[in-house]
Amino acid sequence: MQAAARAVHIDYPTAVMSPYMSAGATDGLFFRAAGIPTYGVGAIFISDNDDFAHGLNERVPVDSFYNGLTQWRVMLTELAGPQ
Amino acid sequence: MGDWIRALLFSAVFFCGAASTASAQAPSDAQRAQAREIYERIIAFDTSVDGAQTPAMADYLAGLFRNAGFAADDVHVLPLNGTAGLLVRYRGNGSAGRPIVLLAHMDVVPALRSDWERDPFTLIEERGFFFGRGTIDNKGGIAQLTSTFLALRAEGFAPTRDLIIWFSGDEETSGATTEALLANHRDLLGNAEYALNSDAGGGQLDGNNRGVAYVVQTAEKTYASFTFTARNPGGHSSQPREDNAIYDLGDALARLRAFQFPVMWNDTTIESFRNAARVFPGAEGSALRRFAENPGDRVAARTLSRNVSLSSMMRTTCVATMLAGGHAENALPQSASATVNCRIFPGVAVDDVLSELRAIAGSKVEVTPLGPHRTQATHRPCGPT
Repeated sequence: MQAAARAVHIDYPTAVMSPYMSAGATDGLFFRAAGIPTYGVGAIFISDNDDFAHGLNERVPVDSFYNGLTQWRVMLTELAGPQ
Repeated sequence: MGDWIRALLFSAVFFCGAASTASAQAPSDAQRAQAREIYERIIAFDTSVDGAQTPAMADYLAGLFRNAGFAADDVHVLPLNGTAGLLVRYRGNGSAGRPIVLLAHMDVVPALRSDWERDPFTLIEERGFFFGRGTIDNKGGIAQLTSTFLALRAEGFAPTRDLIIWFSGDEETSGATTEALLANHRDLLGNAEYALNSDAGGGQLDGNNRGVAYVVQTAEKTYASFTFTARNPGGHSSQPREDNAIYDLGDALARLRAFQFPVMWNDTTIESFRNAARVFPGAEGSALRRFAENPGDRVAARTLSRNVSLSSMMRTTCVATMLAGGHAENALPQSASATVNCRIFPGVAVDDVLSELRAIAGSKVEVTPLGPHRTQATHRPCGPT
């Protein structure tokens, strides 16, 4: 959670962090059932009005796609970098 | 999920440490260009059940990793039933611990050109957006993870624990590629400690493009459907009998309607409720606070259960969603059936829900699982990250 927070706050310093339980299912379901805890840390920021996952004219803000590269780099290098 | 994010905006929960300077971590122009090209190439594969191009997409991505120097036995394309999954291992020295798995799915739901304003299988950049089927769900994650692996590899990054990519091939349908990985190729994951999933969680922008909230998905309910079926020898509709398949099914569904699964909670929902208590007004707000402090508080639970979205976070839910019965206007029905869709609270076995539904349905109505049979969702609290 903390690594995700540090990664997210680089480009979005005012984002409030919170855990949540989704009613919907993902591959994480199988991993959790197999004893591998799973955390959803998708690296896309989007407004509610623009979220058309499974719908028509699905889209992602251009900046958000590139900022997500920062988020993943920071998370991975923090979690698996020099200690 | 949107309502929840709005509620959480005003909460004062920060998990963060100090932020680093943006420039030190931002992608180079070269990485941006490469990521965009990967995004463009993978959007073009129609990886829906209609297009069936997931194996081709897996092969394309596997080629990128191999060309970047990932060893042949660290890149695995696992075909299954016309689709495929891709596993890539970025070996580390293990000094920081056990492997971490990074998840995304290559398949998408279908899209028809006639319904869309632009071709859904061409990445189109317009008005500050990338358009295309799968741009957010989940090829953005695929492109970001692939690009990050390739960039780190090129920079000579030596991880202190294994990083293992798993790109599944059928998350939107059966999940069989992931089930098969865990059942038949568990050795490829080593003793993975946890997984980070690009297909859940994410951030919210406000009207001024400011990132106002970010959620980490730490639990999910299990999806499971069942069929309720009543059968009867039937007969002529001019001589109706007390026993009747449609009425028997109706009675069972009435009992289902009246039934409420018991209240449950976990660290995630308690934390969510505690945050939301600051924002919900009046009786609901105080009930949220009381429930977060003491989930055994039945009065608080009853108050919260009147709110449809809060109630779904407090228990397993099952609801009738489809109905069919009878075969002729002038014949007593020989069968009647209903589909019941359940969202099961983490930690509850699907078989236990099946048993409960059988008890509700009674002896005259048969209950059987519909679709791929899952076991259960488990939940663990926020871990060492």
